[in-house]
Amino acid sequence: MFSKILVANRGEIAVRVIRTCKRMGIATVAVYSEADQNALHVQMADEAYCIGPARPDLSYLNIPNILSVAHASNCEAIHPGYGFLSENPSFAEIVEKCGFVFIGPEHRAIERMGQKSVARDLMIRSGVPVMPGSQGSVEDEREALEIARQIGFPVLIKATSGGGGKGMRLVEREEDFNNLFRMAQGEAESSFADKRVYVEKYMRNPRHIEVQIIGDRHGKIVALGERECSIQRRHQKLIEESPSPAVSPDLRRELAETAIRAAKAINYYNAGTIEFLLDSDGKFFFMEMNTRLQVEHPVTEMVCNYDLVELQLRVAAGEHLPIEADLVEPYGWAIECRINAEDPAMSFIPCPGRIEKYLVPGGPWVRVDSAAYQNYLISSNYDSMVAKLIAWGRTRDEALDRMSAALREYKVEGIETTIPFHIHVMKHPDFRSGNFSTSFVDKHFAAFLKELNDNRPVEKAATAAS
Amino acid sequence: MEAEQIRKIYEAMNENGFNSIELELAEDHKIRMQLEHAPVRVAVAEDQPGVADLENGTLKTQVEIRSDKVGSFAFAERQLKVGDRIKKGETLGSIKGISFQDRVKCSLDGTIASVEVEPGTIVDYGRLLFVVDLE
Repeated sequence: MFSKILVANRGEIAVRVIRTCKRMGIATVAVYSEADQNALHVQMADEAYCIGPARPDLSYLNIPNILSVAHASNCEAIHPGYGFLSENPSFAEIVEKCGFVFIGPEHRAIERMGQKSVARDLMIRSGVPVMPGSQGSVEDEREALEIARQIGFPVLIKATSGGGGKGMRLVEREEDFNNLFRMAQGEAESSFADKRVYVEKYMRNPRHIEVQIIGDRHGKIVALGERECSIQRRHQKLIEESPSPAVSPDLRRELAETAIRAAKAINYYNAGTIEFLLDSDGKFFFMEMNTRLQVEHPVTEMVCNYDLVELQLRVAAGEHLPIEADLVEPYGWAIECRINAEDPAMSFIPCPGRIEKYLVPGGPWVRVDSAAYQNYLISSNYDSMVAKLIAWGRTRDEALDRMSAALREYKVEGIETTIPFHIHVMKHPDFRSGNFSTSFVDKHFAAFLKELNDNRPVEKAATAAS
Repeated sequence: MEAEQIRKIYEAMNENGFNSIELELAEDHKIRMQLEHAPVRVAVAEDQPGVADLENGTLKTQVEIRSDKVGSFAFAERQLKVGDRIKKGETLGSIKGISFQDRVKCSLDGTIASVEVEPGTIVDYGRLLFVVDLE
């Protein structure tokens, strides 16, 4: 096992990685920007070095400075966390070339999964179901339209090098196709300097289900069940749970086998997530693979009883996975709410600022992964996540009840947060029933706003009205 | 303070790559100049020194030499200590990163007022290395 590693990230995930390292007796080196001098990960690490100004491209994305710290402080390995450099294949390659271990998959796997149409073709060849659509990219408008007719409208036109919804167009009717095809190409070109697009069948109201896998460097790959991530807004996940109320034991096994087959197709090792869309008939289709640890990994940890960061460290150090089975069955139910510095009443507008009062919930089966504390300043330079609140129960209802209680206990003053939204969802009959899809937030948002306004304290409502 | 003097200090700062400078004009009269990369901004803190103050005191300038790189520090030919005189253009030390070695220089004559690093120190971005009294 390593004796010292560098954590190339900030915020709650840096703290999360440092915690496991401390428990395992691994020394940690933190890096930080000038805006993060007082950050928790800096205080918790054994050593910490400033690598540049607040701007991410000058600090957390500054590969030479990060590697210089790793070199000067005698680190053996680098954990990239999520975001920043975690899915940058050049970074993974340079780290290894400089003689450090990259705590993640091989750079070639990151590269292939980063190109959506390449990943799609690879999955087709490995027998993984994908949404019906074009094989690779299509350049010709007429050819694209022919494919769209064959698979049937509605269809999605997506950028080959895309991400974050850019260069993506939903086409409901055939007569709109040509126009939207050209728009998608134009947007793909201006956003990614690559005008290639592909066509895919659009599924209405799918569920977003993802499978956590981890592989060692000896060819063993294990699936640690699924996560249900359908509660999202504009492709940003808000609530995740494991297991999914829509997944039966048979479907779980099928999902796990498919995910393992996909990972084996690219000789994958370390932690990864395969995202699927699930329709109401229980049919699922490959969407994409994330070649890193996910934000929502704690729900898997809570029901599978494995520390995913520990497993990442072990397999990166060359150890065999300490798991016999191919699929770890979930025990109980875990749910996670992302507490963001966003105002849900103002359509989730980010509201960075200083946390004036901070009181975290506690008690049995409640976990808070956060880098926040009283007086902590949430900087507008970085994402707006304040904390991840996780609760576990023997049943889904028990987990949801514990989450509700914990949300009410959570006090964050000085900034607006998404806590009121989560409280609303936890008691929503559709959410409680387990019968929901990715359209949940859009469908029920108006009702939430009404409830929020009705329950507002009088003086606050008066201020808002004036 | 005369405009010409400010201009000279500004040039010296630019030449040495200093971001800020503190000038002690007389007791209780300090001015601080700070450069942003662009546009150039001169910030005057505390009291506004008058021309009369300048006539009483000697102009003592002190500069901080900070690192803008990340790596391991080593002295050049000699291990500097307080009171050592340094010459314009002299290399005071080096910072060795993973793929480069950068020299730390002072391009004005001066005297070391304080040494904030030791050989092998891992210096990070913005770390103070030396304070130099300029002549």
